[in-house]
Order: sequence, then C-alpha cells, then structure tokens
Amino acid sequence: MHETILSILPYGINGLALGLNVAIVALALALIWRTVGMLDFGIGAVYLASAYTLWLAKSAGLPLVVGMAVAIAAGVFFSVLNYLVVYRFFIKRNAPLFVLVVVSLSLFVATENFVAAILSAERFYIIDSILLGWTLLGTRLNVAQIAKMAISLITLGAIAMFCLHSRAGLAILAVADNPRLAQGMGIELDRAYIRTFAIAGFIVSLAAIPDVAESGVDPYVAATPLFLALAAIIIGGLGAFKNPVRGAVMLGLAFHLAVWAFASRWQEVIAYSFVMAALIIRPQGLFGGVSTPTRP
Amino acid sequence: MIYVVDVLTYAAIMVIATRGYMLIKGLGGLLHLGHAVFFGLGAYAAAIASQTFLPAGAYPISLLCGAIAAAAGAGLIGWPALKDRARYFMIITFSMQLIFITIVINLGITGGPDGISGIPKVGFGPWVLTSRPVNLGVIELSASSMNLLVALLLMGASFLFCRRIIESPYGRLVRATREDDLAVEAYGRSATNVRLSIFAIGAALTGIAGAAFAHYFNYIGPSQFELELVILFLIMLILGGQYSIVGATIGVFVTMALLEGLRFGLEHYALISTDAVAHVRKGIFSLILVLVLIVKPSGLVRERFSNYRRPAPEPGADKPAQAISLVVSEPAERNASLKPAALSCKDLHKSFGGLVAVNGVDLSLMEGKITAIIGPNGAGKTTVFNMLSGFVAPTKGEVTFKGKNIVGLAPPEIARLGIARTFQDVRIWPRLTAIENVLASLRDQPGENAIRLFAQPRVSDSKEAENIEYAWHLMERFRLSEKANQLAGELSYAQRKMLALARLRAYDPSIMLLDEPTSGVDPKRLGEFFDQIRGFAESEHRTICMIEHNMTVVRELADWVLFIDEGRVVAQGTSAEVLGNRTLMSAYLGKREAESV
Repeated sequence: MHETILSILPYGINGLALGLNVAIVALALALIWRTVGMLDFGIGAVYLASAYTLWLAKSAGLPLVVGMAVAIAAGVFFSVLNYLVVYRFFIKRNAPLFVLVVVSLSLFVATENFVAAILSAERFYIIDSILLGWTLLGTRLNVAQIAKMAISLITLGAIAMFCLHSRAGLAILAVADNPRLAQGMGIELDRAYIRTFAIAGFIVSLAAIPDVAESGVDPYVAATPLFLALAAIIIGGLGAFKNPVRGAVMLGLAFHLAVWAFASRWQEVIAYSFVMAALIIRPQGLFGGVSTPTRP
Repeated sequence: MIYVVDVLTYAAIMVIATRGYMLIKGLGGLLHLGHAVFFGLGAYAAAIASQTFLPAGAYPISLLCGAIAAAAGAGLIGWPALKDRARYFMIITFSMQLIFITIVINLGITGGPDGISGIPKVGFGPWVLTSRPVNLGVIELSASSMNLLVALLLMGASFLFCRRIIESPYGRLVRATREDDLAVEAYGRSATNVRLSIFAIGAALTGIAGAAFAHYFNYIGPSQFELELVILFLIMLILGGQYSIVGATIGVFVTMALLEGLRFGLEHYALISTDAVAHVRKGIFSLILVLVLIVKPSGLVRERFSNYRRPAPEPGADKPAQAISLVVSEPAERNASLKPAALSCKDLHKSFGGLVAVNGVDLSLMEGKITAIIGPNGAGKTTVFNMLSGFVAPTKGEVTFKGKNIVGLAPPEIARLGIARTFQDVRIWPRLTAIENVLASLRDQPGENAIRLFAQPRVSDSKEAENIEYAWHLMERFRLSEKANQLAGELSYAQRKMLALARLRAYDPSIMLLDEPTSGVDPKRLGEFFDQIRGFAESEHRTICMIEHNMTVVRELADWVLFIDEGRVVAQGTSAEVLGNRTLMSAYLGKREAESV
C-alpha cells in the first residue's frame, strides 16, 4: 500500500502541476466565454505570441526577466488586438456564436502556420542548460514546474481578488452576469470587453512563459494547453469561473495518472475519454451550471 | 491533364463530404466542428474492411462500411452531446476531432502514425481498376478518368439524396428543429431524435466520401484528417452557402481552384521554401475564411425555399364558398381522433429554488368548452401551462388525462396524447414559410421518418401531396393563403399569431392550450381570432384552455374563468361571475379599468 502511494505520488504531483497550468488557460477561455459570449481559440495565437516573444527577447540577448515582462506585454497586446481588429467587427454585427468561433479558430490556425512559415517549424529552447531541481516525496521537480504551480495559484488568487474587489473587475463580472443590465447601469461594454481580453492575454502569457521556458517553443506548442483547457471546460462546466479551474485540475491528474495506470501512449486517449465520460454522466459539467453566453 | 483530372476527382469527393456537412450544419443548424472525424472514420473503416474481410471488387460494400462507421460515430457522440439541448455541442465536436486523431495514432489496426497503405483501387465484382485504360464501348478512359467518372457518379447520387432529404417532410422537420426545438417538441416530435438523425445521416454521407477518398488515394494517415481539414470543410461550406446543395458544390470547386492557384503562385513566384509554401497556403486559407465571413457571411448561394402551389380546384367544386368559410367542416377521418377530453390537475405545485410559482392549483377542463385563466403577471399562469404540457415538472401534484397521471411524460409524449399548445411569444418557425409551418405540424406524415422516406417513397409522396392540399385548406380557413409561401418570420405580428392557431389546428389536438392567443393583436382583427377559437370549441368540440389578459376576449369567449394570483386559484366561475366581481377586478386591473370591464 505504502509502495503504491509512493509510486502514484510523482504522477499526482505532475498532474497537479499540469492541471494548475491548464487551469489558467481554462480561466481565460471561461472569462471570454462568459463576458464576451464567444469561445476564443484566438488565445492559442496569444499563447504563441507570448512564447515567441520570450524566445526572441532571449535570442536578442535580453535578460530572462526582461524577456518575460516583454512576453507578457506581447500577450496582452495581441489579445486586445485580436478583439479590436477582428472580433469587434463581428460582435457589433451580432454575428452568431458559430461565426465567432470559426473566426477565432482561423486566427489560431493562421498564426500557427505563418509562424511555421516565417520562423520554421523547428523547436527552439529558451534555457539550454538543465533546469535546477529538487526531489520532493520521490518526485523531481524543476524550477519551471515549481514556478508553474506557484504562478498558477497566485494568478488564480489575484484574478479572484481583482474581480471581486476592483471596480474594473466588478464591471467584468456584471457584464458576464447580465450584459443588458450592466449596460443599463452605465457600464460600457466595449471597455469591459477590452479589459477582459487584456486580462485573458495576461493570464495566458503567464501560462505560456514557464511552459516554454521548460520545454521550448515551436508553432504547435499552444495546441495542447488550449485543447486541454477546452476539455477542462467540458469537465467542469461554465456555470461559475471556478468550475473550469476544478475541471482542469481533475484533467491534469487524469492525464498523468493514466501514465501510471496504463502506458504513456494512452495518456491523451484516457484523458479525453474522461472528458467523454463526464459528458455522458453530466452534460452540463461535473460541477454543474451550464451558462449560455449572451450578448446584448 | 492528369493533374486536372486528379484535382477534379478530389474535388468531387470533397463535394460529397461538404454536402454531408451542409446537412448537419446548414439544414440541421448543429454547431459542428469535427467534420474531419466522419471523413476519417469512413476512410479508415473502408481501408480496414477492404484489407481484412472484403473481397476485391467490393467497392460499394466498402463505401457502405464507411457510411456505417461514420453514422455509428455520430450516434456515439451525438447521443450524449445532443440530449442537453446542444449547448456544448460545438466544444464537444471539436474535442471529438482531437480524440479521433489521438486514437488513430495509438491504435494498431489503424496503422498508427504511419497510416494504412495499399488500399485496393475501385472495383465492382470481377472488374478492378488497374493502371490500364478502360474501354467503355463508346470511349476509352484512362485509370485517372475512370476514377473521376466514379467520383462524379457518387457526387450525382449524393445530390439526389440530399435533394430528396431537403425537399421532404423530414427535411422540413429538421429545419423546424433548427429554428425552434421547443415548438417541435410541443407538436409531438423529439427534437433530440431529429437532430441525432440528421447528424448521423450527414456523417454517413461524409463517411462515404471518406471511403471513396481512401480507395482513390490508396493510402490514408492521421495527418490527412487533422484540424486543417476541418478548416477546409468550413471554408468550402461557408463560401458556397451552408443552406444549399448547390452552394456546397460551388464552394468546393471555388475553394479547390483557389487552393491550387495559390499553390501554383507560391511555388513559382514566391521566394520561399517548399515547406514554407504548405504553411503559407494554410495560413492564407484560414484568413480567407475570416474574409468570407466578413464580406459574404451567407455564402455565394442562399437557402432556397419550396414554393407550394395551390391545388387546382376540382371541376364543379364550390371553391369561393370554401374560401370564405371560417370554420369549415373537416374530413371525417380527421375528426375521428377526437375523443372526450378530460384533463384535470390536482394540488399542482411548482417551486423554483425558494420561489413558489404555483401553490396548489386545482383545475378541470370541461369538454368542448373554453376555460380562461386570468391573473396578474407572475401569478403562475404560464407555469401551469408548462406543467400541463410537460415543459416543466411539477414539484408536487397530479395532472390527469383520461384517468391517467401524465406527470413525468416528456412534452412530445403529452402532445401525442392530444394535448397541444401555443406560446405567449408565438414561437413560429421563422425560416419556414407559412404553409411549411402548418405542414410541419401535421401528424400523419410517413415522409418525416428518414427511413420510411427512402424505403416507402410512394407512400411518403402520396401522403405529402394529400397533406399539402389539406394545408392549403387550413391556410384559407385562417386567411393566410396569400402569405402561404412567405417566410413566417416576415409576417406581421397578428399574422404570426394567426399562424400559431393554424399550426395548432393542423396538429389536431383534442385539448388546446392557448397562451395569450390575441396579445398584441389590433382590436379590429380580434373578431377573426374569436371566430377561430370559438370554432375550435363549438364546431369541432375541442377543449380549450387559454391564458388571457384582455377582458374583452375573456368575456367574449370563456365559458369558465379561473383567477390565479400568487400561484393559487383565487376565484372561479362563469365569465359574468368573475368579471363582475368588482373587488377582484379592481385588485387585478386597477379601479378605473375594472369599471370599464
């Protein structure tokens, strides 16, 4: 029994690290879904923008910390740019949800391919040396993994504080709850949307930076976190912002415990089967409360 | 030349798959983002079947295997995904796309990441396509041209198949479900089953295309069915027009021409590597999709609506007399379904969280009479209707119809018992024409079952012809014949209200629940509504229960009136008794209005 627990533990810790990392991408998706009323695959493009900015900054000889700050700024900039240049056109014309989703998916695929065409599909590493690490309960954790978990927890807490205790955050929550009423109360939707995309860009960058610092960057690096975040939404539901976060943690654990129970090649199959199982048991998400996005 | 033939063959196969997508997304309105899965399922099923148990030359059976595999996949995904009113459908189908690729890469039978090669070429019985030219008697075709011919024949067959579906009662029901699923359920059909069936049919057609693709290329691998293929299908469908078979065809050929033109331009004029060409092409194509959605979101070809012709009057028929009659006598067989109504409810309760909407309502509808429910907004009137029609489950209490408790039955089951309703917000199917709204509500339609539509074409077609004639008869009765071929969403509010009554009458229920049938109607036109509603009860002996705020309507029509307030029946009696109760009316309408009642 003791041995079993010890053998599971590393997978559990890795699963938790992955889950927390996916959680902030899922939170970004949920934030845009509930506030703006669209499923934004474009955050995959934002992830790439942030990741490649970090690599370019590093290649240009900038210190890593400065590179990270620039990468975060790039993430925020591209997220807001997506809204201002592309999405706003469709939102103002009351485009159906499907159109918005197709547009955001196209943006993501276009970004992936243009990056591959311009910078090649090769994987570039930000940190060449072996990352500093420690062994905890039989699991070796490197500095990037620890940073991932810490950043995710801090981000989740900070976003909750921002939404509940700042004027801008409350305005976003009001729009997410009832856009028409929020508008009637004097909240400017366009400004709330810009803020939402800025926050989404910010937190997606925080997910991208430690991830690519650990594993390197290539044009397809955003696909897995984005799609896992999507799966987390299915598992957790979108009734409340905390639901996709819970879903992400469960998914991260399933993703790594699948390796412990089966083989690594079945990792994705098991994780996505978990999604399907959740879907069959509770189509509205394990934690309930389907929310259909509404726009005024 | 071979290059052009090959591109055309590929395009013909893609047309079939895109038509499958058109059935799912355009006709069915399902927000489906995993179409490459069905193409892939068809391809893998055909490849595996051809290499394991099918003999050489079993091309048609192989295509069938592709169709079955894709339809089964659709059923597997669609059943859980569609039962919760499809709100998550888009996310689920997209996830399905990701899962499919993962599974295909990891399974041994699918050849893993290497895929399956050596898939047999097209073959029919003893004849199998080889690289040698084929002599067809009048013409000799190369192997490539023969492939093109087979693909074109399949494309032609898929056109006939899709047209048959779109123009059938089944297609009409699918479109009605796309427009408003609750109204479909109120008229006795399961919206989930309708959606699931069109999802499976569209998938099967795409599976056939996938199987044809596998036999044409003789190789399939996971990379052929990834996200880029989804984007390609989306471009083809949206560019051409997602609601049209012709659009789904044009979209494919225009996209293929652009795709090949772009490849040629990039390879010959752009100073970039071959690797980069593929990426640039995909990138540009994704942006083209955005551009199409900006410039022409409805696509090149718009949805076409059937124009129903009024049947020619039989010689000697007294047509004008029938046209002006508001309440015409009905064919005997249609009235045969009317049995004495006996709907009642006892101690009906409904709470939403802490809010008690209905608090112990007792109600008994009298056969062939009109019962009106009145009361202030928020009194619980519509909630009572929702419980009687199965849209809301009571927290407590019984609803009895012909001695049987019907609580727990789904709305379509209750409707099929003969209890049908209208909605306060009308809920007509806006992108169906007025006559289609009536046709879609009729009960006896063999052609609204997709299997019977193809298995018993004559039965379906003759009944449809009969139904069209009957629908015209109803259009005249409800004074909508001039608007019959106009989209219902374009009718005036009063006409939509009248259409809601016509649709209800078409369903032929013994109990009619009318939720504010005259609200928003110009008082000058109220007489037409009175005649129709009175006709339902007096001439056709139907039991009517209506929610109404207009006391003129209540006084004019109601045999019995219930006053509901705060979820309880506060008073009931004849309209003279209830409307004559000054205290009650003053509390409900205010003193000044109460005096004018």
